[in-house]
Amino acid sequence: MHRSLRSPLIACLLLAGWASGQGVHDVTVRIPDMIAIRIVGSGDGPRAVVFDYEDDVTAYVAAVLGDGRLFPTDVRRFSDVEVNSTRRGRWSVQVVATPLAYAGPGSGDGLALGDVRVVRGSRSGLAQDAIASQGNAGWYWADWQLSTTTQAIASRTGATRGWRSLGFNGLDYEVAVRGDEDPGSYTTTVTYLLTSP
Amino acid sequence: MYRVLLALLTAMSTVAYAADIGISPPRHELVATAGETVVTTVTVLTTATLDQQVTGETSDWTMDIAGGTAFLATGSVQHSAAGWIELDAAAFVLPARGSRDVRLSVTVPPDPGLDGTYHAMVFFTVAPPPSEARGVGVITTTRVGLTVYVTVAGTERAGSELVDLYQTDGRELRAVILNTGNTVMRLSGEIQLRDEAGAVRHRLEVPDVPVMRESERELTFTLPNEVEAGFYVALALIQDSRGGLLAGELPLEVP
Repeated sequence: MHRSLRSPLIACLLLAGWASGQGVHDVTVRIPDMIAIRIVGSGDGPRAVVFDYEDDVTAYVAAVLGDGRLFPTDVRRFSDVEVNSTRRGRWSVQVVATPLAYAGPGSGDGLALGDVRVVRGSRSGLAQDAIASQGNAGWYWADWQLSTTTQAIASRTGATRGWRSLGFNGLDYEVAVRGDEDPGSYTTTVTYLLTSP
Repeated sequence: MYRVLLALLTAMSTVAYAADIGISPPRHELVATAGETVVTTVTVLTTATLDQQVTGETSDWTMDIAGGTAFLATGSVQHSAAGWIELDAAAFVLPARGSRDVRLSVTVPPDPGLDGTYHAMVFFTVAPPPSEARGVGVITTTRVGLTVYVTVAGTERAGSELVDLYQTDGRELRAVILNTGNTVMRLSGEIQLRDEAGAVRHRLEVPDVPVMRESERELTFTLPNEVEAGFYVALALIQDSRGGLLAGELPLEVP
């Protein structure tokens, strides 16, 4: 091809490509502003922690004579608590519990809601990665007692970049006993709450 | 009637118990005139592989000077918008790995005395299952809160001050911001740590947090480990979302 014709031909081809809409296009991605929280555990049924010492009086008495702590006998579908935030603002996780509901022959004295405690990662071995570090970006509590008053247990400014662990699960629950508890069943519902005001 | 009851029982029996819930967006900032109704939506979503029963309810909330929130019964706080909000569904089934748009109708009462920003929280809670535990049983579930701010149009009054900037101990700074206006303000900006020559050595980001109307907010800044001992000037440059810059400076010695 003659050199003088080459440049105009290329320009025409490029122009034809542009005119047919095959040359350039924009890609726009919009990520939603969202917050989410989940208790990790597969399958149907409650996410539950059970301290069933009714048939194990030896362990109960040993705990009373020892450090007074009972650990879960069963953890059901509660292997982690995770949060996901795409926003750069501050978010907080709070916890609140219903009063202990008692079923048994006594009056339900001796055991209080505050006797149920969570010590983050103590027995699960989990480590949180939802809060980057203690300081300006966020903070978290190492342990807390259940209460009917909503209490913050973790807070952070900024996105989590996906689902991130709060560093505890059902294994990290414990109950403080003194030996003066009425026999029977005590039940509470614990709610983990995520907000970003 | 029997068929309806049977269908209801069948629907309830297919709802499984998970604890996985999210919302988008997490906050609505609405503007309406007195007597006006504004309609908006929030998407409730889940990654659970099972359908979940979800309940929605409004609540009041307050914020203390440190940013801590407390939740209270609807209508129990001044400047509450909780009673203005109506949900199109107070209870619904959230489909597995799905979402549902919930419509909020927010009606500002036709009261000419209303002014500034009112606020509320809308909770969406995964309904926990009935207890089946023996002994001490802890049933857990999850909840997300949609923050709603409603500002009465034409009544806004802005105004803010940096009341204090001080060093609490060697490696911690605190800034106190006063919102003198009647609307919610949000913060941004930074605190610069300048050396004796005036060069910016470190920047501490001011978090995106609200300061409620006619109230104070105290922010705590922990100096990062990389801030070396020495003399600095902390220059606070804090943005008010309604416009304006709050500035202040503090000479400090970092041990």
